[in-house]
This record gives sequence, structure tokens and C-alpha cells, in this order.
Amino acid sequence: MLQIQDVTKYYQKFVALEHINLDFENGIYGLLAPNGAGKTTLLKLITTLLFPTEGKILYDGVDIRKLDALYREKLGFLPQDFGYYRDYTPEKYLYYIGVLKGMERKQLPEKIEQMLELVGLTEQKNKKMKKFSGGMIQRVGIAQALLNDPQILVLDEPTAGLDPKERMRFRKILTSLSKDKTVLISTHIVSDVEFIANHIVMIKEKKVYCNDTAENICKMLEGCIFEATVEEKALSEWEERFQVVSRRREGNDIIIRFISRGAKDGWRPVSPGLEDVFLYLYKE
Amino acid sequence: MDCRKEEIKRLLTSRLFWLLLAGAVAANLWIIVDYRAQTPMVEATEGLIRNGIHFVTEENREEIILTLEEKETTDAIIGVRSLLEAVPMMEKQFNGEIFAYLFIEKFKLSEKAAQLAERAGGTLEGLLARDRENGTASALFVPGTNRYFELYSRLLSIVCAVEASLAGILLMFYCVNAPFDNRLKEIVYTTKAGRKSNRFQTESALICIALFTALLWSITLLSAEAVFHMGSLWQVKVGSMMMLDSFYPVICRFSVSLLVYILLQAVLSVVLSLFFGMAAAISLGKTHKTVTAFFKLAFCCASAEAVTKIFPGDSVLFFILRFQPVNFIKKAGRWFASGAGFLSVKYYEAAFILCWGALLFLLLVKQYHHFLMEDI
Repeated sequence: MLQIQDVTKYYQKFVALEHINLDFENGIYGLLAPNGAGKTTLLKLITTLLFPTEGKILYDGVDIRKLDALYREKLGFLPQDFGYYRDYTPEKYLYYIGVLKGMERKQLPEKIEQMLELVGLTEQKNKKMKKFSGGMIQRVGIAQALLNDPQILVLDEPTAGLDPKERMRFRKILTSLSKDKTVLISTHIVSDVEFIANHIVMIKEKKVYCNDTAENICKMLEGCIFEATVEEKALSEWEERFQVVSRRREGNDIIIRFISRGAKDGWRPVSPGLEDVFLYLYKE
Repeated sequence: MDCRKEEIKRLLTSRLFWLLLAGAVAANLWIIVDYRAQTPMVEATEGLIRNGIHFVTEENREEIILTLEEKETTDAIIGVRSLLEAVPMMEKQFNGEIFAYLFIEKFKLSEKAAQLAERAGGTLEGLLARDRENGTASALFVPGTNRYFELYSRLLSIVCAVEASLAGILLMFYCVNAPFDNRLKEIVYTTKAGRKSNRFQTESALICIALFTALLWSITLLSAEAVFHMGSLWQVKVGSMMMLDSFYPVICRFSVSLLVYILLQAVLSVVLSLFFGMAAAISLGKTHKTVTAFFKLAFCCASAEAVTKIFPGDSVLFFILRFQPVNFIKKAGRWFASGAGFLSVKYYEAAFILCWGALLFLLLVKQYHHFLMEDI
């Protein structure tokens, strides 16, 4: 189990995270927050790229700084913005990362084949990565993160650059992996985690705002989400009065989805979703 | 171990390694080709050696001059005649005292530094006496031979040392800073090897730098051999008078053949390129930015030079400061009596390697330990 105990991180005088307490067990954890909220800092702390100014991060009760390589051996990390050696093929790149991960050379070719098949890059395995699209690079990134069969898988904005079909495949992979692993996904795209994450962690004002299942989190807006049909010219007036979370056009009318503490005739109550909560929490 | 092997493989299959080598070899080939007009002179000298003439003496001097003069190119500033006529005189007149005097005057030494220079001159006197006696003081590789054997006595050594040192800096940057330059740091430093991969990268770069220098010397010498066919000239003893013309005077303290002399120069080039490689790794510091590190290194070299120049020449510390890696490169410009930079404390090259090697190594280790603890 991974435990974050009262962790605070300063960048010189700037506070990036304050008194963070979190426990991660096997399963998928979605870390939701807008850009700049401190998600990446938290992930960098978990992956030992940064060290906490205060507090500790423990794995199975032992400080990860003490565990050092023993901890990183169990880690798979896909950073938000990662590079590669442009002249490398995915096969060569994965081999290089596999060696750094301390994997046995004999096992590597077979494992690399499996990973390339998993991310659908078997046919491109001998092509230089400089010719790859953003989506293909992202798939190589996912493959390298999974290469050592990590116990803790940390993914920072993993679906960036992936098309809908690839996103679907990626979610399937994660769901199948999550039974015996801790998977931590940081994203600001709610749909990436809404239906696959067992737990959602939301960060606000440098602190953990909520840490619960998506279902429980949505309950905070139970009875507050409505839909209404409005005319186009009245739309701006509605937007001034309520927090409109989405809109869609139906014929000449516009159907809006909005948050309100009270109901009125003509408004249709709907079940709240995680996106509603996200927009409500981070409306500023 | 696997990580180191993988890094070496990465560096040896990189374009940079081979481009640098090709560039350095091309420059050296150009120099060798520029000297090809000396080929008849080399052949004639080899002919003299085959006839049993190994040293310049009063008796054989005229025969040597007549043989070599007709092969001489017109662009020689100091001709064979004037040079060989001067050799016996130089051999007689030059002594440790003169060496020391020139050195003391050049660097305005006083007190302890001057005493040290005199003592160092005294040790050279012994070497000169030994070589005068066995006839190898000037052999056929005489000092100041303009466009004659300077190619072997110092020019190849100078260019190889400069090229290898520059390559050492660039290869070290390329290898050690790769995770930062290629936005791979977050992946590399979260693997099992983690930040320790920095050590593997540094070690791999040092191995590749040594290999680069060895390759450069090998290709250069083989190319020179293809042009000049030195043959038995490789066996000629390099006398202590060569100290006036050598890039690494310490080698002239030993009575060695030209082949060994060249090989020892190659070894010193390897050491020098490794020093600059280590200095490059240290200069990466906290920023991990290649361009910044390059300027930082240049600034440190300039500072080392400035301190060396302004440091008062009245203590032993002057000698320690004077023999720093930049000066080793700079010695390219100092030769013959005009430079008077040849004199050194006994075995200073060995002391240089030990002192600067230890200092650079300690700084490198300190930086590595700092890197293990810093935020990335």
C-alpha cells in the first residue's frame, strides 16, 4: 500500500501542495484537478522525482526514499510530456528503458513484443520514432510504463493525443490491470476516469478536497442538476443566473444543463455526473 | 553493468561520435598531406640510419647536411645546414642552468619558485650529460627543425590533444545530459537505475572519450605512416634536447624510441581528454543545460588562466597553479627557448595527473551525490 502522510511541497517560497494525506490500495485512482492545481507535483513526489519538503511517502510502511531502487523497481510512470531518442525504433527504445528498469535481458524481447502488441505498434516496431504521430508516441509511452509489470502505475494525462478508439482500448487495458495494481491517473478530462476509477481524488487550493468513489462524490450535487429548454436569445441571461455546465442544440431550441439549489416548473432534474461536480468545484 | 553497456552502445552508434571523429581525422589528414613535401627528407634520413648514422657528430655532420640539403623544401625558415651546424653547439652550450635562467626570466620568478626552477634545471643537467655521453642528446630528431620532424615531435600531439579534449567535452554533454536534452528525465530517473544512471552515463562517456582519442591517434598515425613510410626511423632514440620542441617535455626525460615517444604522447592525450570530459560533466551542475554548461566551462578555463598569470611567482604553489589542464593545451604555443615553458618540476606531468585527476574526480563525485538528492 502506498501512503502519503502529511506531505507539503514548497518550490522555494511557493507552496505547491499542503498537508496532503492519501492512501492508495489496489485499484484505479483518478486524480482530478484543473491545470496548475498541483497534480503533476503530487505525481512527481510519488515517483521520487521530487522530494517532500515536509511529510513522508511510505510504501508498505517504509519510506520510499529509503527503499530507493526497490521502490522504483515496482514503479511504472508515463509523464505528461516525455521525450525519446529520435533515431530509436520503439523496439530499441523499449529495450533501452527495460535495461534501465533492471529487467533481465533474456526476458526483454518477449516482453517488448507483448507490449507492442498491447498498444498496437507491432507493425511499426522497426520504424524510427521521429516519424511517429503524437498518438503513436503516446502509445510507446504507455508501453514503456507497463514494460516492467509495475505494482504502482502512475499516468499523467495518459490519453493526450489518443483518438477515441485508442482511448477506449487504453481504458480496457487499465481496467484489466487494476485488479492487482495501484493505478493512479492524473487528468483534467473527466471522462477518462469517471467510469473506470474506483476512487476519485480532487485537489483544490493545494489540498485534497475530496477522496471518494465517483458515485459518492456525485451525491454532493444530488437534486441540483437540471435540464431546461431555452431560446437562443435567452441563453446569456440563463448563463448569468446559473452555472451552465453543458448545452446542446435540438432543432431551434437549446437544451442546457445547469446547477441550481432550487427547482422550478419546466426544469427537468437529472442525475449529476462527475463532470458537473468538476465544473462546480472549479468554476473560478 | 547492463546500463553502462547500453549507454556505450548508444554513444558509439550516435552520429555525434562519428561526425566528431570524421572531422578530427579530416583536419589531421589535411595537416599530414600539407607535410607530404617532407617525404624525400624522411627517405633520405632513413637512408642515413641504414648506413649506420644515428646521431649528429662533428665528423658526420657534413655528410648528413649534403644528403638532406638536396631533399630540402624551399619553405623551410631554418634550413638543414644552419640547423645542423647549430646542433653540436646547442648540445654543448645548453645546460640545466640556462634552462632554469630562461624559465625564471620568462615567468619573473623569485624566492622559492626560482629556487625550485634552479633545482629542476639541475636535474635536467644530469639528463643532458647522460645523453651527451651516449650520443642521443639530439639524435636525428633535432630541436627546432622547422617543417622537418615537427609533425611527429609536437604537431600531431597538439592537434590530437586539442581535438580529443573538445570531443571529450561534447561527448560528455551528449551522454550525461541526454535525459534532460531529450525530455527523458522523468522516465529515466523513475526506473530502477534511477538517478544512478547518471553515474553509468558518466562512466560510459569517459570510456567512449578514451576510445575516441585512441581511434583518432590510430587513424592519424596510420595515415601518416602511409604518407611517410617511417620504417626504421621509428626506432630512433628521442634525445633530451627534444625537450625544447616537445609538447610533453616529461617524455624526453626518458631515453625512448620515437615509437614509444609517440605512444606516450597518445596516452597523455587520453588523460587530457578525460580531464576535459570530467570538467564538462561537472560544469553541467544544477542547470543541466548544455549551452550554459559550455559557457561555464569556458569561463572556468579563462579564470584558471587568469589566476595562473597573475599569481605571484615566488612560491611552490605557482608551479601547481601553472600546470592546469588549460595550460597543457596552451603549451602548443610554447616551444623552443623563446617560450621557455618547457622546464618543469620533476615529473610534473605525473603530479599534474594525480593532483588534477583527484580534484576533478572529487568534484565529480560531489556533484553526483548532490544530483541524487536534488529535485528533478
